Amino acid sequence: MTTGLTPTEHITLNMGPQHPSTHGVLRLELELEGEVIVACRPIIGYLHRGIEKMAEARTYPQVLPYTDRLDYLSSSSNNMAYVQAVEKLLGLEVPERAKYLRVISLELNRIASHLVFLATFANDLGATTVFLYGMRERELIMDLFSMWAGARLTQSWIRIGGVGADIPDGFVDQALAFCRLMPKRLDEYDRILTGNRIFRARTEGVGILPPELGVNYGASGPTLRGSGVEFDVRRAEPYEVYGDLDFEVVTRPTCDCMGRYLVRMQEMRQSVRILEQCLKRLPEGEVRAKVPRVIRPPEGEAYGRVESPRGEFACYVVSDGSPRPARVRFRAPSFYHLSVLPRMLQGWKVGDAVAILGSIDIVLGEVDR
Amino acid sequence: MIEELRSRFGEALLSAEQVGRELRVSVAAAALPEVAAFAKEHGFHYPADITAWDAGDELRVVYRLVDLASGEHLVITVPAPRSGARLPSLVPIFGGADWPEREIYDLFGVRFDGHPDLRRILLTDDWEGHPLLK
Amino acid sequence: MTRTNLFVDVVLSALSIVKGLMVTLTNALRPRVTRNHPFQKTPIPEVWRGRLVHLRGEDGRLRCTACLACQKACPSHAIPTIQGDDKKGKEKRAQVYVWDASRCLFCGLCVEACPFDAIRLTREYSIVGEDRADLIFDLNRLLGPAEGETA
Repeated sequence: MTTGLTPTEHITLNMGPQHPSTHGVLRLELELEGEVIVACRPIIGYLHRGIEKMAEARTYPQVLPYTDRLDYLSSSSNNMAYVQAVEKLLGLEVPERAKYLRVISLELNRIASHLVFLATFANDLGATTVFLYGMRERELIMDLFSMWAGARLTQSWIRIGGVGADIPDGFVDQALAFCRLMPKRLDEYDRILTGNRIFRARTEGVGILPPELGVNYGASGPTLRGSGVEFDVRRAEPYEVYGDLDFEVVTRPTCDCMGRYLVRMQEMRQSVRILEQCLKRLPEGEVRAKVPRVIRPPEGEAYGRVESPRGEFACYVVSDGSPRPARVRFRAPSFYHLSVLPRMLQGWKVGDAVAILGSIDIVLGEVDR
Repeated sequence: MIEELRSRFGEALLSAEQVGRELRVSVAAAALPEVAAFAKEHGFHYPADITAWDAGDELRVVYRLVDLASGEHLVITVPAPRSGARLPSLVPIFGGADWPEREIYDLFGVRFDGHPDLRRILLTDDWEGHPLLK
Repeated sequence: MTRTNLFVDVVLSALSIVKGLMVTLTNALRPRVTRNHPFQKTPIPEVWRGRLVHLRGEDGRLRCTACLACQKACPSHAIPTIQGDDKKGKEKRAQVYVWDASRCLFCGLCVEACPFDAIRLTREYSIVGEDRADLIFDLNRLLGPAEGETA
């Protein structure tokens, strides 16, 4: 902490709740010595809507649209975690086609979410052009979702027992065209951003998250894989058809912002691979199992676990045998990532805080619930 | 694992059953830190989820620890009274317990002894009551 | 940093910028993907979940029988009041039906619950009003086209 000069007084600086780089309403109380961060206290709850409490007063199908509003950048992962937990409670088997469609939806959402990460991360670090490119490609995915689900962000399209509806004509072709386009666009991002000297200087070696610390704090997803830990729920506990698909779990050993960024960039390529396999193998058949009008799961508890674009998104549902859940708990990866953030920020400058915060890719909707 | 837990914690282990990949145990509050430390020694390094629910007559605080190498889950349920509950904090063992414990305090009113910074987290500091209690 | 290293670094940095500019240039030559909203309308797919409408049968009467299935299915009480006409005709029909767009999640659970296919979410996405009351729709404002007419 000593600079060799006269000791300076610590000052407290509020970053947020209205700050373009806090990606929502997050307040970071930074304690600074000069420009160096000595301590950080994240203050959350600005977006708390009490979704877990609301769920207690809703029937099982009614809870579903609320899950979209947690991690709003990838609503299908939220739907999936909740639906998985409820289906475990019910012991419900889902038609094969629905499983494939779910994976298609999940992976499209993963790419969309990572594109938002790419866009905002680049924007935070001064590369505004990439922001526009990221949003442009994301729009192609939004088009696919609107023609299938009739909504862009809050799709609620993974339903208990299957998916909301079958894909419309032309969907497969349009999705395959997207799969052909995307790798080329990813190459472009790499050319404009990944190799850029300024971008590298701001991300390489910045914001170290040691793997042991990450695991100890419950970090997951690209944040943890950027620290070299090969943990992916899709591989560890394959749900739907992930067990039959061929994809790699991308890791980087560098533990820095660049590592986390590269993991996400590579993951988009893997998602394209998964999408292509699913679209080509898509079986015929029903897309929704028979579900009773009033869903009354037997007493018990279930834990639905999904690899969302941010990490392990899970839903813990306790049933007391009534049509309304006794408890619905959402385990949000960003919540854990934000709790380890103070450890990652220590010793870095204020300017790096933007890069480090951007690199863990939080969504406040799921943090505050 | 069940046998080992039983021989080591005896009375404190209220129940134990294996459900698929989940080992569900229920332990008395006093034994929680030792059980957690024991689990961590046995590979359960990852605190997947820490939460609670109101079962009507009592609260259940649920700790889900995961062994990333084997994929096994250890679900530790700790019963607690509905008001004035005090549990030992797991923050010294799992850093990831920090915020979830604050959340449980905020929403259920369970106090965690030994927590470094037990404040409300989602609700404002002047909020009265604990909304997830039924 | 030695002088040669510094030189190499400067050259590589400059090259990385040139490479990036090439990407910008190729993109500048691509056709435009944005639309001049609101002058140019974005095509909205048929399945879009927008404003709620009531459908009418061939006789021009409402299909809705005020059975309350949609009200029970709604997660956010966006359909607070439904009243029927006490079966003066052959079947009960809706007399009062309120849809509160400000509460609606546009999840489509009401449409799914409807046993008579009487309501639908339409392609109309721009639901605006000058105050909150404008967002509360009564039956008059919820009427959709009768059978055979196009939306």
